[in-house]
Amino acid sequence: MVGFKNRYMVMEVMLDPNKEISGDDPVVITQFNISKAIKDSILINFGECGLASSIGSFQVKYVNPITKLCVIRATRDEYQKIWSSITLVRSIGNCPVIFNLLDLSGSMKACKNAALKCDELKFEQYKLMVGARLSVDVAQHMQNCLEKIKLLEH
Amino acid sequence: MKTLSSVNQRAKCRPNKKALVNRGGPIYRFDDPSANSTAKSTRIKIVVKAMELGYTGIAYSRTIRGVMSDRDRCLIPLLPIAPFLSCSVNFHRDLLRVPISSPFRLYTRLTVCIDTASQSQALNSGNPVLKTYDIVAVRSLNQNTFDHACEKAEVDIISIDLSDKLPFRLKLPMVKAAFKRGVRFEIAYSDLIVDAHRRGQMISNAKLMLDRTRGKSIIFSSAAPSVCEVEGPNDVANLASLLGLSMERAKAAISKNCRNLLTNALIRKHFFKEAIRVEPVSYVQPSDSETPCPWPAGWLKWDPISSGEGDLLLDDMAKSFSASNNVSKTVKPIDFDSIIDKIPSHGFQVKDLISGTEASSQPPTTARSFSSTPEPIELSVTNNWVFENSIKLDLLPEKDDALLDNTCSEH
Repeated sequence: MVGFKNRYMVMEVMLDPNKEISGDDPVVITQFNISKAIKDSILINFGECGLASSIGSFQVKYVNPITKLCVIRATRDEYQKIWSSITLVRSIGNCPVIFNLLDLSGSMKACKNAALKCDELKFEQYKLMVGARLSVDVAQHMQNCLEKIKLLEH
Repeated sequence: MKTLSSVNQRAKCRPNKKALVNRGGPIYRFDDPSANSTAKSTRIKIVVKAMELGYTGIAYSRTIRGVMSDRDRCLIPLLPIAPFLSCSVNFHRDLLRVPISSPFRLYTRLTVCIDTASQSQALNSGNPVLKTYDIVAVRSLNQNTFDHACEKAEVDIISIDLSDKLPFRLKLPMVKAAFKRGVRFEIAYSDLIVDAHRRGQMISNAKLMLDRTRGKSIIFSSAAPSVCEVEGPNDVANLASLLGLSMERAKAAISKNCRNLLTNALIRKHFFKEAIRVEPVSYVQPSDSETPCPWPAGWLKWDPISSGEGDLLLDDMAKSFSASNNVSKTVKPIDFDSIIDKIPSHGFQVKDLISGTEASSQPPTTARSFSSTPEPIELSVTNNWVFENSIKLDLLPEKDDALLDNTCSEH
């Protein structure tokens, strides 16, 4: 029997929506800076107690800096609060961001499937946007990230 | 921002952006069309962002305070489309389970701020300025006007500024009266995102409002001042549940309620006495291959939330990058209200109207491949109260018996 009940959210990060569309990224998203931004947001909106009760199971499981996809785990009891705090995150570093939820699931398996699908589709969009400038190591990096999804565990 | 103006203030447009969110079927947001070019580019960005996030509609809002004068709105559907954008739109729509080929709709909305009784009297069904907008919203600043808006005013939405202390009380019988008439209450969610202080005030006011209305007939809109405050539909539903709505009501608030609102608003706008609409149908020779059918193929399809000119078909947009103002080729229905005064006493005959028509300013539709018919008869009765074509149509009888003579002599 599974003791910990979790929710896995697949979110996309839209960096700096005000900027022109095909520029370079102002800030590279990593597990650390997304996690920090979300924790700050929980602290501001829900206070110390809110942060303390959410932080138990909260983890940013996977981040893809090319397609700006991330997978976040939260406990089932508090996931709505965490989701709201994520929505209310306004900036990472100096760069304004918008988080958009793509998929919400209760098991790692469903989350992995959804994340793979979304990642591949988003990479297609990225290729369309970048056009001819797609470099080989970006493609390689993308493959590594897809492998990482398959190895995710709860 | 909250300075009260004197009673004699002329109509003034505040650059106050508002937006309506609605998903599933249509999703809308309101946006303010300022003449400013930076505001315009912001507006375009917001529209593009909304489309990308999977919304299926957006409405431009304009705020007027004080006395209304004759003003019109025109849609400016200039959207820069890049190929990856349509890919992104399809991706999000697929995730939200919105049909991919449904058009992205543009509407116009007017928000009237009223603080005196005389201004609230102006919000009746005879007001010509209101008719030029698809949706009419009212924002009252004191108790009397709020009561009047709930009970009598001809509006679609009642909008309350939740980021400050409420200037009036939401009395339950007023709210019930508003429900009965089908007027919906609007909550703007951008106050949650923008500022910490406004967030607190907004949450407490919104909870009060949700308590009174019990969560029914609520729509969510975003008063996004810039593109950084636009949120996706699921996220908005979650913010609504933060305010105390159940998830089911929250999702209805962003999709079903908005769709119903738009259907009602467009019926009120386009249909005479909310029941009848007359459109001239182009006559088409039956093609030789099929059995002769007197009606053209698509005429029976009625889109209840289409505002006529505002729909953008995504396939078309992806193909064309030009930002030309596409003059729509839809025929405009006969607007009865503007000519109701001029109907002669011996009855209204449709042929009088059609025979007196002039060629519209649009270029004739290109001939369909199988037909060699005359051009479809298009009416150029616009929805403007200022009846520009009155001279040509000439349904103004000085005396009743002169009517037929007049119309006959016109063509």
